[in-house]
Amino acid sequence: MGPLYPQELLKPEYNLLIGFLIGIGFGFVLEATGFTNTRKLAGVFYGYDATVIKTFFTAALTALVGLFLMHHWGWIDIYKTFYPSTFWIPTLIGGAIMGLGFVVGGFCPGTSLSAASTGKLDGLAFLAGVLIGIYGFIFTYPFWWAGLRASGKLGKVNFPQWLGIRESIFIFLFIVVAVISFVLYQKWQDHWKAKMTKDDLDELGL
Amino acid sequence: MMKKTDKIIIALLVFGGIISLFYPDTHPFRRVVSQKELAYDAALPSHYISTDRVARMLMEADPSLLLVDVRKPGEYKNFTLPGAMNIPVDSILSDKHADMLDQDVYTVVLFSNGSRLADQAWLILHSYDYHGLKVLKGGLNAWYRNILHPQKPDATEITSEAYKRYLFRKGAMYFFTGIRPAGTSASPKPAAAPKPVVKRKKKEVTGGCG
Amino acid sequence: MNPYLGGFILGLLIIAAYYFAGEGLGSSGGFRDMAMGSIQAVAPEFAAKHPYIAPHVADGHSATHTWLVYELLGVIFGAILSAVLYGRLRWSVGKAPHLTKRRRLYLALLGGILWGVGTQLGRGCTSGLVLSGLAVDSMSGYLGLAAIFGSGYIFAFLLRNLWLKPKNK
Repeated sequence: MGPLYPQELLKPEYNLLIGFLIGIGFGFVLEATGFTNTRKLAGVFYGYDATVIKTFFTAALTALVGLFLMHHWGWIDIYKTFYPSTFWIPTLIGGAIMGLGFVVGGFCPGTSLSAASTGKLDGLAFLAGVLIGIYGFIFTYPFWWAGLRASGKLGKVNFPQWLGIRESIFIFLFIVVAVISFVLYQKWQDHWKAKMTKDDLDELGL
Repeated sequence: MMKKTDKIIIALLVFGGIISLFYPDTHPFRRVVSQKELAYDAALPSHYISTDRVARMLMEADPSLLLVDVRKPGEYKNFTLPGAMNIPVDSILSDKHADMLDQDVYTVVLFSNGSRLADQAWLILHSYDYHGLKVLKGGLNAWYRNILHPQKPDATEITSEAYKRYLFRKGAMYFFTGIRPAGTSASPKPAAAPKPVVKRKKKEVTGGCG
Repeated sequence: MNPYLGGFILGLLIIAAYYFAGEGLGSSGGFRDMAMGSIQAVAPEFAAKHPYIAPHVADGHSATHTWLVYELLGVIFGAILSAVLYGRLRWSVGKAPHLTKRRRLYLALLGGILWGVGTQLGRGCTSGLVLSGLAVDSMSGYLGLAAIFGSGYIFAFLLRNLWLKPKNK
């Protein structure tokens, strides 16, 4: 029963090897679906390209439903994984900074690595920025960030439980909302498509 | 204009969501209750339960009642309430008892000699977000006073309410002690105090770490 | 690749990551490990005493020898593999047509710096914080989603000239 590594059912070296293989799949999917194209990513915010929204939420929901069912079928115990703890204050502030970075830089860290690997210079510049930002954070951590990063601790919180909603109903509603937003985004994209030039359409691969 | 692949995958997701509806929550984590919340909840009288109420539940053999004595094992051996189990306050958070204390099937009533120790246990458990726990108001001292030695209300303050309560307590005293109170003509057999059935949840397999 | 199919495969990969390693897919965590590893290599004593790095290098652990770093190595290979298959492997700069290349590169660098800080403060990025968080219904994932995309939509509106051609007046 999973997760294997935290229960010492998997040797560390195999764990790293599997990490490498999963990474290959991750990078492949990101490139293949067009996440290395910064204009497609920006399409999330302006609606001219619905690809990223579709891929992103399909991934989240597939994993959510899959892990939920596997947990109940006894294939994996979600709570033996390194379940993320919630620190609401730094997550909201950090998230707001990332949102600005998304619009300014046109990537997020994972997509920029894929983009840089395939020869996109903007991805490379973004990647350099991420490392600079991390170094900057580390060196200023003791006097700028330490207190803020540890604030707002809520522990390991299951969101539907926190809301007081049955988890399965929450998941089902999430799926419904996602499918509706897929349709709306598709409409938004179609609306743009009429105005786009052939070059634009080629570049976005629509 | 959806492609075939789109339809298949969306159908799969929706199907998975529908299957999920047949399953319960995955619930093991407790959030940490904030100090403000804790102070607020502790000030509410609603987590106290009266001796009369507990006596009634015992007499009715209410299967949902789970009495927990939080005093030391020695005191517990000396005297306790019928069917009570002993979880000293020091070990109240131990995993062994988590299944029993943190559920919403039983009415868990914590008690000690007075209310202080049980209050402490309640506060500890509540800060870990255990729900629906009660504290026996006044503890065993109140039990002794109210149920085992009920006092006839003063003639000056007899109201129908107080008198009814006195009659009930006399009945309860007979039930728990077998001593027939003076002035009762009925002769029910003294019954053994019922033990609430404590069904332990099956302990889940807990990996290799002890 | 079909976007839904890509998402479906990505979802299965997240499940695999949780099943085998017990953690979600991530990116920023791997970058953090690499940054810490480089500091550890140059100044091991500084690293061992630094409050943010110390937990990652305790007991002589190497900060770079982590699951996330190997996963990121895989990402590089996977991305190249796909780019070769689709014939997209070439030097280029992705940008809105009306932006100069130089401007785009500076903006990408600046955006990257913001992400570098934001991910460390918020404990992860779009994959580690949001995607992997959503996968196990963790509150952190939903908060991260709301914060990143909420602020993203606001700034996207304010900075729309970066991506959409300004209307001629």
